[in-house]
Amino acid sequence: MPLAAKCMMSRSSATFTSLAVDLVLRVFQFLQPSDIISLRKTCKTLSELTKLRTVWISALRSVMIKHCVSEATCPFQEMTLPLLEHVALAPHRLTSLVARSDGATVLPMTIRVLSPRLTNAEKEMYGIQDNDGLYDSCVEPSGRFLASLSAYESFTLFTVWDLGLCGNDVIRPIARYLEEAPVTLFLDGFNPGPQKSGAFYLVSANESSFLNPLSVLVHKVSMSAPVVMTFSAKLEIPIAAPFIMPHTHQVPGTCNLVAQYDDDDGVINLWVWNFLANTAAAMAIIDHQSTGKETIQYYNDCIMIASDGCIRIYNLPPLLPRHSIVVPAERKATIVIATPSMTFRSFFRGQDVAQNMPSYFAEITQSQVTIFEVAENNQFHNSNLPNKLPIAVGRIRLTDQVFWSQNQRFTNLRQCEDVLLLMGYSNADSESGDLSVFGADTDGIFGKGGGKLMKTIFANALVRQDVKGKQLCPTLGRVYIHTRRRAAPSRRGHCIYIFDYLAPPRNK
Amino acid sequence: MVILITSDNVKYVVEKDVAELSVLVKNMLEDIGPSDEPIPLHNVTSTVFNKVLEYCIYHRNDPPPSDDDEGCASPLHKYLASHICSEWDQRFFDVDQALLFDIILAANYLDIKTLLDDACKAVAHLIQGKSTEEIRGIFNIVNDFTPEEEARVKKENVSS
Repeated sequence: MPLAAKCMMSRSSATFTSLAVDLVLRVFQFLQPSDIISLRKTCKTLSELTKLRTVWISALRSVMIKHCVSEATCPFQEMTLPLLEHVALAPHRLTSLVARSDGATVLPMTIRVLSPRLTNAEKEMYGIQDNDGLYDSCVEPSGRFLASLSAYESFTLFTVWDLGLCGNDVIRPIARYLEEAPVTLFLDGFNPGPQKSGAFYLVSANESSFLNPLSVLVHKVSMSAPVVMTFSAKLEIPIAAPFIMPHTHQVPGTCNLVAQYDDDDGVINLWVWNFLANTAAAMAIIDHQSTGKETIQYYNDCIMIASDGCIRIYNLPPLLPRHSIVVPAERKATIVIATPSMTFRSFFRGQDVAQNMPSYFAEITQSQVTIFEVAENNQFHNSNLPNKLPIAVGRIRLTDQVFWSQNQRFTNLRQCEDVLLLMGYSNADSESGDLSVFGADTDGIFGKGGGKLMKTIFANALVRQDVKGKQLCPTLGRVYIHTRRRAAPSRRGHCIYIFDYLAPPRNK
Repeated sequence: MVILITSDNVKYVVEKDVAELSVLVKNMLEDIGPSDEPIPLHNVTSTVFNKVLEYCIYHRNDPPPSDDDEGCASPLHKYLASHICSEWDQRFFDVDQALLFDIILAANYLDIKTLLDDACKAVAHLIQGKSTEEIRGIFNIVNDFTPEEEARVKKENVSS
């Protein structure tokens, strides 16, 4: 570094552009992707440095860690420079889009329809004639991979699709798995497994019947080429009553999930299951009767049930190996936190919940949104108190510009850059509807000034149909919608749309 | 105790554990063995070394940085830790730009990784959220694009 050495001798002449290349690149490591773009436009020297692959691999890695995106989603080595830049910049571009389009409708850059076709060879192999049968789907949090279920006479076919990283990629099936299940399965979650596992886990469940117990199935999808889907584990919950359907929640990045179901007497039962170690614990909630409107938030050491103006926190019984008989333990809340009484309320958990990052959830009423952060709060390590408590960290009052009606429903709470995004839809009547994204700056929410909500309407034509599944995937600027034609037989008339709101890179 | 002499001939008597935060000094000490020989630091002036020393004394008891990926801390924790500046560090780096860059050069020469990273973080902080025009102003960067080149760069990189 002759140049740097020269600067050293004559102090006060050192400047940013006179630093050695390796030192400038070190500074780049601490920059946001949007800052790197700003630097690119300053002068020729910096412009050239911002075109190095290593700069964007490092930037993308930071973006993925910050948004808890699994490394299996973006194989750096296979990505071109424009694609690396595109994905690294996507969260910033989406939040800018929401801020810029406050109050307006934004049209997607591309709309793709997933066509669940089988090749002739596959049809022959499975012994089927048509492409019908699609009836359920689920997208993983980043929005790159989607899992679908198709039902045939004697089996269920799982398919994992690669939706690509931008809107002009071709949707292609990357793995199939045939499950000879005599019952109808429903997809309940598709999340990345533990760090560096390079795998995703797909959770499906079936309703209990007189013949079959309620069961939760986990399939592993290994993303390293060739993508392989395998059966991983099964949890059978013996209950006497039919037509009971569990809801599950996997803690992303772990192998733990909780299955919740209400029995005939309205008692909430919770099974916590580590599907890799195959250990489980069960509890029956005896101090709260199910209303069907609860939201259950699960952490490794406690469970929170939010309902009726209260957040109840339960300590978990220890997880035991599954070969011993697991008996549900009757439990009362360790602590109950009252939230101010209001007429209309619902709770939503963020999709980003992971054990190692701040997790937010929102209480939504007709006049305001309250954001709770789940915080480490047991400083005394008192075993009678839960280790984590939800703390109200901010409120946003609704205004004349941003308000919602009784018909407004919310499906997603996601953090993207420094913005909390709440996605919801309202179908006021069968002919109209909105798919809205409400964004609130975390600085605004947590600061003293009080937050402000921005409302952006994302493509709304589909909400007229019956929307079965929908999810906002902000890290790729993507919305997934699964619709089902009204009055069609349950396994007909299904359609999956992928909307991309960010322009794809010019030359991939 | 270790004796260090800066390029402008200022002599410092520094405790060994503080001096050894610099990998360069640590290696030199190992090479010369036990001796009272002063160690010359050719590329560092006393003005800059005062700051370096202040940093090393404040951080002398910090756990050593690890490049170990398998550590127990999650990537998110590491990410947050690497992007957040402590209040002390913020005040410490609140200096004129030339000195900040001199600290970077000194940290690089003395091989003090944590100081180098923290100083680079402080530079990144100056850039964060600024427009291209603002960045040019902050660092006195001369726009050497031709109007055509500039138009192309702008067109290819719409800010959002």
